[in-house]
Amino acid sequence: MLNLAILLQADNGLLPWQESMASFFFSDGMVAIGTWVAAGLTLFMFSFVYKDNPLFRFGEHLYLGISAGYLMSLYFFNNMKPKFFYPLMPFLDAAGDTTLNLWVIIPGILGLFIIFRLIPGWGWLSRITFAFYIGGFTGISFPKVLNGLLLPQFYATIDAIPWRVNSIDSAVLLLNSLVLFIGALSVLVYFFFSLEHRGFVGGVSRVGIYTLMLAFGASFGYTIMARVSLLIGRMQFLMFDWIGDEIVGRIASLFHGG
Amino acid sequence: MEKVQKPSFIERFLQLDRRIIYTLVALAVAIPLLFPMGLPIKVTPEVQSVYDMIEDLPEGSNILISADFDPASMPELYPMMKSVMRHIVRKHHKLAITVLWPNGPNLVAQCIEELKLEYPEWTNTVDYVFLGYQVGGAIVIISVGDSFSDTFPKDYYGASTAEMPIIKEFNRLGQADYMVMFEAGNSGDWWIVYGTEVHDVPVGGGVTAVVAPMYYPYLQAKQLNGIIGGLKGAAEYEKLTEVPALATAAMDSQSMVHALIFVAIVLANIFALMFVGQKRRQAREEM
Amino acid sequence: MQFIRKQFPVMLAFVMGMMMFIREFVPAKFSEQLYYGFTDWAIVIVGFSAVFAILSLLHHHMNKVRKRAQGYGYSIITILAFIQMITLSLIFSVRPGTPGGWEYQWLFVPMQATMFATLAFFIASAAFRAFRARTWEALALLIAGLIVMIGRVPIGEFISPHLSTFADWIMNNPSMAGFRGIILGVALAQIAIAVRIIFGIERTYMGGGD
Repeated sequence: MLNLAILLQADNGLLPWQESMASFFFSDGMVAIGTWVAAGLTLFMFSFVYKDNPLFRFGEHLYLGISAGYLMSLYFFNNMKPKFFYPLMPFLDAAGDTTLNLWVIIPGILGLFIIFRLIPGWGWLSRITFAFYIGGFTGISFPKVLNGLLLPQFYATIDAIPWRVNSIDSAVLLLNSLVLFIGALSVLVYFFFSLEHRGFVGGVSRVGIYTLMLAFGASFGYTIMARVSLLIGRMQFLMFDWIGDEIVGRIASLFHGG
Repeated sequence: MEKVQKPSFIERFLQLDRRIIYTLVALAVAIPLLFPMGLPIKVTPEVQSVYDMIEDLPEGSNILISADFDPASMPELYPMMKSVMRHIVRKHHKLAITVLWPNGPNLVAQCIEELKLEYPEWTNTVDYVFLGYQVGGAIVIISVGDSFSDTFPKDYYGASTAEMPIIKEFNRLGQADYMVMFEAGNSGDWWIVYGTEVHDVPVGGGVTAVVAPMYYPYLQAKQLNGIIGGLKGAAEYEKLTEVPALATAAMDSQSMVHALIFVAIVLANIFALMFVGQKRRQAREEM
Repeated sequence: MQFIRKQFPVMLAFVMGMMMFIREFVPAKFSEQLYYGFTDWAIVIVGFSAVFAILSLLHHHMNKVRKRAQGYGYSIITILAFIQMITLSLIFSVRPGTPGGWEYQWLFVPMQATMFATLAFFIASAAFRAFRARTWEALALLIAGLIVMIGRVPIGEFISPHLSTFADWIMNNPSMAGFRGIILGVALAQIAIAVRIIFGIERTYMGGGD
């Protein structure tokens, strides 16, 4: 019971011992150790650029384990505790503001059926859970996708076309809106594989291919931007936080007497 | 014995060792970080729209932020999220923050702590509430349409949400005057389809550059009021809020690497064409 | 028993699907309670499925260790890292200022961020070696990519404001048209799949589970 109390206390606001612990982990010493550890692991992961090696493999598997532990604790504290355990056993909630709700037994049982997939011979029970969840969610998503995605996007494609052209600006708008209309339509035709892409359909399909190529080209340009941004982030950490503060900064402070 | 022909300059260029390319990329990132060039940053209309929306809302408006990213997208989305949150704090809007990606909550907590150092009067449970992470994706979005406190009985710090002062006035998506979502994947589609379109809430998107092109159709359809795309978008928002930070510092490096890759691709294509021409000429001469 | 294994899930999917679809058109309090009641239950179910995903990962690595498969030493690292992280986080939580929070900030974040940062090197190398305009379609892709790549960063605007104008035009017109076509196609497919799932034509989502 004591361990359970500690388990459930940990996430109920800051207690005095937790504040002391926080001060320790935010102290200069722990930040310095953390910076060196982070820099080392960053270089381990970067070593893969040269070739696959045991340091990268070590980092990769360490990351997997820490990630799994972090996620598991998050699922417990954010989901299972407040949404399943507390409604079933309100006395566990130290704050005392959960009311008893025995109905959560049903989704709890359905959830357990999923975990039964790990037990040979019991996995078929998970089909009931998937049928419940996926069936219900598709019933919700059908009208939502229609109203929230399909129709607004169709409407916006047609609505963009100005029906009266009386200036250079509206002529440009007409041109752009026709690019949008013809481009979107031709992409849809391209993806319609039930019709053979020959003749008129083939021609429209080719327009769709070129539209897609322009779209993917733009996407490629943006992907370069994204990947380079991530590299810049790591380089900023290595150059300024590690080399700048921890190495050069500490050497400089030695010369300046602290 | 057959003479082994030395590869021409073109062939050697086209088969350039990848380690040379890696080194050039690393230098193109590192040098501008050490010696900034200060290239001007132009603000695009998409980013201006998000800024104007937050700027023009009456003081004390309700804004929902959903930080749906993880450390892999942090260099792009963290600076823009911090800029937007700083703007919201300055305008004294009420802020609720949710997270749909499990690896994200601690990043948001870090951002909040950094902003509290700048604005110590910004108070938890009164001016903002960090609801934390909940499993479920689209299901969570549907659920916040009903109630924040039912979906997140405890906030990130473990305190009960039901009795918080901010929750008494801002407890569901429909009560938001604006929403900004920070997306590294397609959870933005879910927010639009299951959230903002259903409850008629204007929404702006802060997205990674990888997914930014996919959100432009929503912008044109007015399902999004603006897009802050990638690190460049983050730098633009920093310019608008007049607090240049990580994103602005990274722009010169970004420019140099893009220029390097641009030149490399153009030269590679030109040399490839010349190589093909060379081979055809050699084949004709041998005939 | 065969009925519960095979037919019952299909019937359940139909009932749930039709119930949640019809309730969309019923403007009653009960309809709203059903809607949000389902989402409450779904959040609990998804929590269990998330736990299952982690247990599945551990199951895989424990099997590797048990069978002494190639690279099982690395699996031991994964399992030990998991055990220490889950122990610390269940006792202290994973918020900043805790051992779990410290590990998140100084181990997890750098490793995940760096894994994706290495892609910058690979994309540059791949673009140089493989991005060739051998066909008209590839040329279209290349031109759009180059204009957007250089036009959307400060150096492009510095070289010429027309570059950023062209990049904006590509993003707001042909690129948007292409992605709109994709979005429309995906939306139509989602609706088609929803109908197939509700009427029991599509059953692959249930998995084997025998």
